[in-house]
Amino acid sequence: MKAMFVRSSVLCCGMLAMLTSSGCAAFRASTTEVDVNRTTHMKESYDFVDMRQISQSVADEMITTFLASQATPPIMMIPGIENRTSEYMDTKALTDRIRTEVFRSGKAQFVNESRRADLMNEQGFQAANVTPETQVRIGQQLGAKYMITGSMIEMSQRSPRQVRVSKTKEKYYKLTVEVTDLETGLLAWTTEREFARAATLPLIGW
Amino acid sequence: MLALLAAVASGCASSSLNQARREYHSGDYRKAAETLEKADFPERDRVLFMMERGMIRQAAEHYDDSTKDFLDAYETLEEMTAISVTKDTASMVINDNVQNFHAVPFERTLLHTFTAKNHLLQSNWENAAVEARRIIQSLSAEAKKDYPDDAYSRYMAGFCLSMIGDWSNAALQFREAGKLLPALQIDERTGLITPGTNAPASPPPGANPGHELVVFALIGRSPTGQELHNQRRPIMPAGFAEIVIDGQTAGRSYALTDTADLAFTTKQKDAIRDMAKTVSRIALKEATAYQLDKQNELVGALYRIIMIGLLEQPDVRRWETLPRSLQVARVPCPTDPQEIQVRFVHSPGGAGRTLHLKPPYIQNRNTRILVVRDTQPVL
Repeated sequence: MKAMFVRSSVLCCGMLAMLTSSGCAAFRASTTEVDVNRTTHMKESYDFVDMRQISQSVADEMITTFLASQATPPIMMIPGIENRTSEYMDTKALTDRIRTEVFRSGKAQFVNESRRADLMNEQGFQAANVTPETQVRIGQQLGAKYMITGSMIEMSQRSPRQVRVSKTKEKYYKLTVEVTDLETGLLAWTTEREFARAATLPLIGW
Repeated sequence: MLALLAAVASGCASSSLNQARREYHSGDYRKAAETLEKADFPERDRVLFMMERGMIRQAAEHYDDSTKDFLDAYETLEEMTAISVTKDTASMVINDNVQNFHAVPFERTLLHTFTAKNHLLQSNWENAAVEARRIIQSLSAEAKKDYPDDAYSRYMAGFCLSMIGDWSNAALQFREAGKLLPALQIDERTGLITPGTNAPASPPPGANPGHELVVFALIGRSPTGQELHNQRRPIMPAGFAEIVIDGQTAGRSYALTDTADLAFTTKQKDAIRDMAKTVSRIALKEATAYQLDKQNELVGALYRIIMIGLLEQPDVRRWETLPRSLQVARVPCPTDPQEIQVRFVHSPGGAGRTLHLKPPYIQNRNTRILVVRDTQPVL
């Protein structure tokens, strides 16, 4: 009996030592680089992969269709995309990326409307404190011809109550982006992107 | 040793949480927030702790921190979709306190309602609308099942949507809230609340007749878990808040939801399931004790004392900083009010505490918003 207890104890200690010395991932904290270009999703919700893909795709379409038809690069401004979903979504990240891609193409110019207050402060400061030769001229800002706006909507559903071993959640998103002519108020261009995703969650876990 | 084991498995709230609750209910919100700043909590009570701290931080005007706590509670709840083999088995062997606190349906809805309030108090209208959509989802037939609906949360959802100009969806929520309140008339096109069933003539959807003040009044305290378990219902009406603007009485608040009613109705709905589980667990423990008795009477008796006498305790964990009466006053307001007084009236003819509130007020177009609370118990 005593020998059996000793054998069992030695076996347990040995297994524990192997487990800890093996560097088993479950017991280790680690940090790894993630490829921002990856196309897989961790959950059914909107994530950075969606943000990157959608913004790229909308910017590409805007450059090759609407902006390609303009005689000169128009001046544009982006008040923002309205979040009409049930998720906290940074839609500014989306518009920032669209603006960066369009700006890089050289097909449009942008006014920095989100920093307008800072701009005015700096101009006021320069008018009062800066030497005349380095002072910027007041009243020389350019006005935007077009405004980019839009909205993101979401619809979701879950699997109904029934005998099952997992639960499925589906989410559908649609982004609408519009370009409005600030002079006429007419829509000059519009596009949509939609995607849906389903995630299955286990009903039994540890 | 036995006492320690019983204390561990009883799921009693930590002393700091209880202390913070007492401080909150005495009106010392900042002290309560400090008490919970670095307090420890068992992981199974994470949702409860975050709900309590979120509420206390909201009362202490720490809105960002409060929102973080409420969102932490929500995300933890979202991850609790699976039945836990270990914790459910343990709850069949020990008691329900070893399970994760997962909040009852109306508490889950109110989690969004109070998060929305934080966003309103920070003029963050778009995020308030996000919470409004979460309220609507949590009150859908699929999520709510046959648990009671909540007119206050419906009203809050409608109000938040109206703040971003989504009047069609706001009207739907005002209508749903009105259906739950036969003694009140809620104009679905403006959100105006009037007593009785005669609707006043109302302007078209979204039209704002003038400046208005919307006061979300939180009155009294919801029953504790122990009071709920002992069926101790509050007997006194919760009272209301009278609104005085620049010395002129502008109107009063109306109760849209009584959390005591929601708690007791929910408890009633769960009673059969809870009783069946308790009876099964006691039967299992008794059968084990009987088997142990056969081998050694002392061991069997000891097992009974520990497992049935000490560990068989009800799960009385509850979101106890929830106010009892959730009320709204929507009254006309001058263009530039200089002082708003909120008088809490607990009984006819008698007035309680009065709050004197000075500008600046939270404002969206012509609508000013206030959130006031009176945490005195209404027995």
